[in-house]
Amino acid sequence: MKKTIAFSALIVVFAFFLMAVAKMRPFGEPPMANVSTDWDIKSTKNSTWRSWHDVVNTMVDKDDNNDSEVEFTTRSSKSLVGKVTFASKTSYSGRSWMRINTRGGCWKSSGKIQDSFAGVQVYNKTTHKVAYYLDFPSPVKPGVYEWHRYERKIAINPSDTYSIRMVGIDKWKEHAVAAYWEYLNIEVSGEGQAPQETKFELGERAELEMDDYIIEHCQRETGANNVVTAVVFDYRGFDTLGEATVLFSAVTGVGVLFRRRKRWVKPEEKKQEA
Amino acid sequence: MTPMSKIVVLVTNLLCGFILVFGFYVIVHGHLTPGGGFQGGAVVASACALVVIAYGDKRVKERLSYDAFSAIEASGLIAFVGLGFFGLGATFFYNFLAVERISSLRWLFGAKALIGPNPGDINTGGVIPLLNLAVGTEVLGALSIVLLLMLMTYTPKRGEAEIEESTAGRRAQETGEKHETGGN
Amino acid sequence: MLWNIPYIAVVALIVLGLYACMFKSNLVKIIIGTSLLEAGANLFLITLGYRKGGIAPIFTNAPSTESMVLPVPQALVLTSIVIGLAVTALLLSIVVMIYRHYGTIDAKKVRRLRG
Repeated sequence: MKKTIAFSALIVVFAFFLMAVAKMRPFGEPPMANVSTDWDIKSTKNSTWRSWHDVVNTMVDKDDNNDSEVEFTTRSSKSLVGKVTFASKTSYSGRSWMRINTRGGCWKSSGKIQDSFAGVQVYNKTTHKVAYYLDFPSPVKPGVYEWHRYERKIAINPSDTYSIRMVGIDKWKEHAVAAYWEYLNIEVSGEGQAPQETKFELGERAELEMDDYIIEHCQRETGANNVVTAVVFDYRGFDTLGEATVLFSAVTGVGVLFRRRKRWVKPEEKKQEA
Repeated sequence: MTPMSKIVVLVTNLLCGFILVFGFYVIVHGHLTPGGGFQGGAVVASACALVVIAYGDKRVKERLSYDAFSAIEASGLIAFVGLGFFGLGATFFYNFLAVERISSLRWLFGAKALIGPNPGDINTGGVIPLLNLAVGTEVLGALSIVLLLMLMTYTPKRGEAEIEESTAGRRAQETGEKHETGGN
Repeated sequence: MLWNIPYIAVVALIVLGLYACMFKSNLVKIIIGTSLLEAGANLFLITLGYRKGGIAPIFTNAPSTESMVLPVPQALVLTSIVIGLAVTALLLSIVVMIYRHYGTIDAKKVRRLRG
């Protein structure tokens, strides 16, 4: 009886520990604020695009200043595209987040790939510092358009004013660099709000820079299609060396244990002796 | 261990080739499809296990030698460690063959890979297919050695030994004749 | 709630493995319990790296590259499986040696040290 009670208590404790580790949140996350109602969004002058060729041709940066601030209109009610500045109306207590969801890339006309970069910059206008910079990686060849998806979550200060800019910088100022995107969704939320209902959700997208970096850059750096094999043999090849050594030493241990000896005392003979 | 019946032996003769081909396919295409060194090595070792089960004690001890598999396993591990030293200019285990980093070695798994979903070119991957081959060799050697060790030191009990001697001789004669005419 | 079935399977595997390790006296059954524990731990590691609507992280003939499952836990689990295999092989060979020495594989009877 005691064995059963102890064992079932162990099961219950272990199950709760597992659920806590796996982040089954019984209390939910605070809700995401609606951008258009809770925040004052001002977007500068309007211009319409007919195709992404217009995006590229206008966003070329050949001067020395640090950004190419080009304004353009929204594409749908959900996405805000362009140079926007926003400040919060209500005050949030605690931390606030901004989630950027974009799909775009970097385009270069020619030149050294390493000396130019493009991306999305979140600039804090109150403290005059860059809050976050999302880098679009260089393409494999000049003149090539590649599309990648990015999603980042940035901690922001709700009392500051932020602006989001697309940046394209060429170090030698000889060639054209551009950042282009298809949509740029911004969502803002803060703590201290009323929590929602309890939810058990498996598989929400976690903020993991390392795995996102590996999936984005695997084919470019290693040339392999299988990301898991590239991680096992290229990004973490040293761990595989340890694993091969463990396998070899285990087989050596089995070989030591099964060595043949001359004097084998069989159990029947031992009983006869005793 | 007594050898198994004629049906099992015949099926083993047919299937061993296919298992070996499939195992080496999984090893070599490790950078394109799911698989790789460890998985393919286990598949090839299962072919050795099939042979050990079907043919029994005596015939396996005559044909498959423990020393050969030990040499295969050791050479696999040496090749794996040695391939890590080639890229020592940058770091240990550097992928020095990958995306045309050395232009003269473009034929040895050095082509550039297309970005995004693509059918997959076997010429890509850099040093990863070579590492797959080394690890696959090591794993098949290791697992086969474990099987052969357990077979070599198997001593039947006294009652079993008499039954084995009476039946094994007759069965070995039958299978021996069958194979000599069948062209093993 | 339906999407948490992998976690429930992990709990079941580990519980069954612990039960077999603790309450069984046959040595081979204890080794089976160890193997179940390893399986539960590996499944837990892989299940943590799931993204909603995720695809296997392989680019060959992939349907789309929208969201891929995390590849790093899968790579670490490959190592873990091989290490589990090595441990099981050594445990089984020790059991063979125990059987040859004592004549029985009941864990309650192999307690005395014999010369």
